[in-house]
Amino acid sequence: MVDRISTFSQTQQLTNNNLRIQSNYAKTQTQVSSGLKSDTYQGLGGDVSRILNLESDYKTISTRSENAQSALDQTNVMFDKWEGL
Amino acid sequence: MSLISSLHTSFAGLRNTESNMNVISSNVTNADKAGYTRKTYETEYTTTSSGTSPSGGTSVTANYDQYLFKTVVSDATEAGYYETTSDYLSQYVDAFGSNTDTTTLSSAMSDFDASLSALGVTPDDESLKAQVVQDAETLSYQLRDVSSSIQNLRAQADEGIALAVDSVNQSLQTIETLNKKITVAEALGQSTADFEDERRAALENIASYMDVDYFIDGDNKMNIYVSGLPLLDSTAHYLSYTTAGTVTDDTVYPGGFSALSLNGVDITNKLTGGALGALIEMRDTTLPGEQDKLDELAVTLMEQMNSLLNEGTSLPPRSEMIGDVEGLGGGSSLSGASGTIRIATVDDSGTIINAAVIDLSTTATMSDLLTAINTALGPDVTASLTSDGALQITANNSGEGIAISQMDSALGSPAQNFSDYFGLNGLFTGTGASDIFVSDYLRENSDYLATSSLSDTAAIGSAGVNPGDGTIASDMAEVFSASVSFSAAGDFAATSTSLQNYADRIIATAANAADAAVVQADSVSSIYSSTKSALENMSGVNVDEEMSRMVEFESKYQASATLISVLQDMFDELITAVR
Repeated sequence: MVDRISTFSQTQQLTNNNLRIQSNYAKTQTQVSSGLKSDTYQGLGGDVSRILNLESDYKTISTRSENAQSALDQTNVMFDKWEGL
Repeated sequence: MSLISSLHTSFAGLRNTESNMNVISSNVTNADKAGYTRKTYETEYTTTSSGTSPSGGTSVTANYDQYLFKTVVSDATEAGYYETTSDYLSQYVDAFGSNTDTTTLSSAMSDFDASLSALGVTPDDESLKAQVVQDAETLSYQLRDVSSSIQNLRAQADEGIALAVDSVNQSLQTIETLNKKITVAEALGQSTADFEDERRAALENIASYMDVDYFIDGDNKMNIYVSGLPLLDSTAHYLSYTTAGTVTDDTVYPGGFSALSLNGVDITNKLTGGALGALIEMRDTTLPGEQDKLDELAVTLMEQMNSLLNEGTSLPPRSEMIGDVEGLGGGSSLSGASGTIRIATVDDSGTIINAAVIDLSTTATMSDLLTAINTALGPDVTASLTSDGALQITANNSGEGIAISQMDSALGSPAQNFSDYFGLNGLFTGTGASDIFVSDYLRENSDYLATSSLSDTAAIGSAGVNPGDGTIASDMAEVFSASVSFSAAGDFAATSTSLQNYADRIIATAANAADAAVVQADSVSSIYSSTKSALENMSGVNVDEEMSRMVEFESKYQASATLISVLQDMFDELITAVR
């Protein structure tokens, strides 16, 4: 069979390919400008679980650090009071 | 043989060339029409003893692979299913916010945990109580927000089903009309090729919505079946569907959503392919499963927080406590209640004004309980039932409030402490993610967060409630990292994990599913477009090809015209000779 193409189908395919390239280019530009792989959970796919775990662990550690500082401050206040006696 | 005969033959050649040119012009004009196939003029020839000459013909599709079209139809169904699924899952995961948002369900959960933990360290800081209540409100809002997004998506799927049904019905009507036109055209010996193009485009539209079987019968009529039921045979059988209007998590199929019926037969569960199959699956299975997971998270969060907070008592104390549990009456049974509680009236500094221990094993009914409290602490305290049937305990003297120590009280099954059983000091109210709210008394005044404890032994006149006790807030914060049991919900099996992990897992699973669905939809769409492209390349119009055909017919036309002109000259010479 002779290879043939249809003009309309070819034009559409070219347009679709162009759009896909533009879309990928825009995505990459966004990544470069924002410094993020993606700003949506969907775009991060399998990494979401790890990111959320890290975020909540980071929050927990920050809180513990603040709490420890707060406890230290309170202890220092009590110690000062005791020394004053 | 005569000049007249030559003239007739040449003239037939001219007409045949004109018909061919007509087909070429139609091909070029419609080259960009979706579904249009290249036509050629199939000439009929009449052969007599004096020779062969064109005597008419019809335009037919040049080259069409019916089997490849079958593949296009089934690929359209696959693409319709996966594109719809990926579209809905993407919208669902967006409901959780984005990873650049400052407030998401996950961050609301960790913020709440952090503020509880800070309150545990500095329990007398009332601004931290306000922070805890505010974070609890944010968390409950996030749960309600995602829950409402799920129900909106289900409503959207419901409307999508109705729109899809309209589109399928329109295409069915088109095919039915085209079937009739094709029958008439065939009877008149006219071309049916253009009608067949439109019929195939309409079938492809139906196939993108549902998995159909079709065949062309001996009369060149298209017959369509879905799940063994006729959609189009001698007549079209239309689908019918009515949208539900308002959609909540209680709106389910069957009952809440109407049946998608074909000729009075409910085919809702028979449609598994195409966009309609995907919409039904989203509406009835996938999204309700996600709602179940969110409900499980909300209910576990409520149970854990309320159970711990009900262990405590607030400082300053509340002058009036009204339980969340309604519908109780004087005769409501409290059988099985055991242990004791200590109820006291305390002032704003936590000093006990009056106190009594109530033995719950002696209170078989609500009336018994009310009597026991009123007898032990009256007239300082009044225990009663509200008009909604909730337990109400009021301190009657100004500047005094109620404090309760749960001691070893146990009511109901599974056993709860006294305050938890009646919902006196709950943090959250509601039945699931769609209606979880922070209790009204805390929204009005966050100071009433019951993170302190009433001493079981402190005497009347001494300090009974210590504002520096942060045990309950710390215990509440611990729940976020400790393992708690979750029942099976949606596609999650029963598990034991922390609240934070469960919330993160819901988001991560949704993101994974949406990402996988997009990849799958891309792959299926790409297969669909390449199959379609192969078919179109085989059967579509190539404008250059038409141009070369045009040149060919142009020269043929010129030759026929020259022949007629020469014959004219010959006739003239013959007439001159005769004269």
